[in-house]
Amino acid sequence: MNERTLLLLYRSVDEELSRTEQEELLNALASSPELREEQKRLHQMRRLVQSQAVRSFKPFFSARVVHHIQAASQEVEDFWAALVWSFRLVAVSAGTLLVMLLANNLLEAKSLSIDSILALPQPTLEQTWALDTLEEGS
Amino acid sequence: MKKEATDDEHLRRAKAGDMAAFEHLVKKYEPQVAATVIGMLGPCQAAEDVGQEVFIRFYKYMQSFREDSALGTYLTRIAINSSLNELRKRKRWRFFFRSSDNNEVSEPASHPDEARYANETQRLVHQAIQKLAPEFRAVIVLRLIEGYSTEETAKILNIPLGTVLSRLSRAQQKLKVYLMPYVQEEI
Repeated sequence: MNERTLLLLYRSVDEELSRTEQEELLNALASSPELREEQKRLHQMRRLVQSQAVRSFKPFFSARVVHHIQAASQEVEDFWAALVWSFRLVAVSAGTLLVMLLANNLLEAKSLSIDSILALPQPTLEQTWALDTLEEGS
Repeated sequence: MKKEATDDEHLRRAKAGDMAAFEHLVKKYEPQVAATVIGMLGPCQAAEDVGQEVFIRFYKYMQSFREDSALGTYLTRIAINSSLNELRKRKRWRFFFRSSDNNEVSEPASHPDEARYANETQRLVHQAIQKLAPEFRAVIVLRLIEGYSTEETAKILNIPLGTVLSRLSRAQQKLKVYLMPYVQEEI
C-alpha cells in the first residue's frame, strides 16, 4: 500500500476515477490485504460519522423560534405605536396654540377680517396713495 | 382522508402570515439544520443560538425566497454560513482574550453541553470533527452527515468541485487518525 493507491482509495469514495485509475486501484486492492482493510475502515468511519450526528436542538425549539419572532415584531409595533402617540400629542398641542394665537390676533385687531386674524400688517395712507399713483401712471 | 400539505403549501401560508405553518416548517427542518449547526459548532449554547438565527433569517427573507432551490438546501446554506460566521467570531474572541501566558480563554457560549450526547461514541465523533479546521469541517458535515453530493456541497459552499474533493480527502485522512481506535472496535 503506497501513498498513491491510498489517495486513489480516498478519492474513489467521493468521485469517479478515470478508467486507468480505477484499474490501478482494483489491482492494488486485489494484491494488498492492507489496502482492503483500509477501505473497510474508511467505509466504517463514514458510516460512524453519519450515524452519530445530533439531529435536534433542545426541546421546544420551534416554539422558541416562533416566540422570538413574535416578540421582535411586537417590539417594532410598540415602537410605531409610541411614535404615533407622541405625534398625536404634538399635533393637539400645536393646534391649541394656533387657535390661541388666532384668538389673540382677533381680540387685538377688534375687527373680523382675515388680515386681522392672521395679523397681516394694514397698509398706511401713504402706501395706499403711492399704489394709486403707480396705477394711474401705468 | 385528509391530505398532508406540502412544503409549498406551508410556505405559501407562512408567507401570508400563518405562524402555525411557519412553525410546521421549523419542526420539519430542525433535524437538518441541527445536524449542520451542531456538526460545525458542537452541542453548545452558541449552536442553539445559531439554529434560531437560521430560522429567524429565513422568516425575514421568506418573501424573497424563490422555489428554484429546495427549501432544505436553502436552510442548509444559511446554517453553514451562520456557523462559519460564529467560528470567525470565536477566532476573534480568542485573539482578543488570549491571556499573557498564551492560554486561550474559550467563549462561554461555546462550552459543549455534554448532556446532549446520546452516548460516548457520539461525543468522540463530535470531538474528532471539532478538531478539524472549519473549511474541512464544512465539507465533512455536508457530505458525510447531510449526505449532499460533492457537486451540491461545492454549490452550497460556493467553492470549486476540485477544492471540495481535495478537502474531503484530507479531512477523512485526519478523521481516520482521530477515530481509528473506535473504527477498529466497530470492525
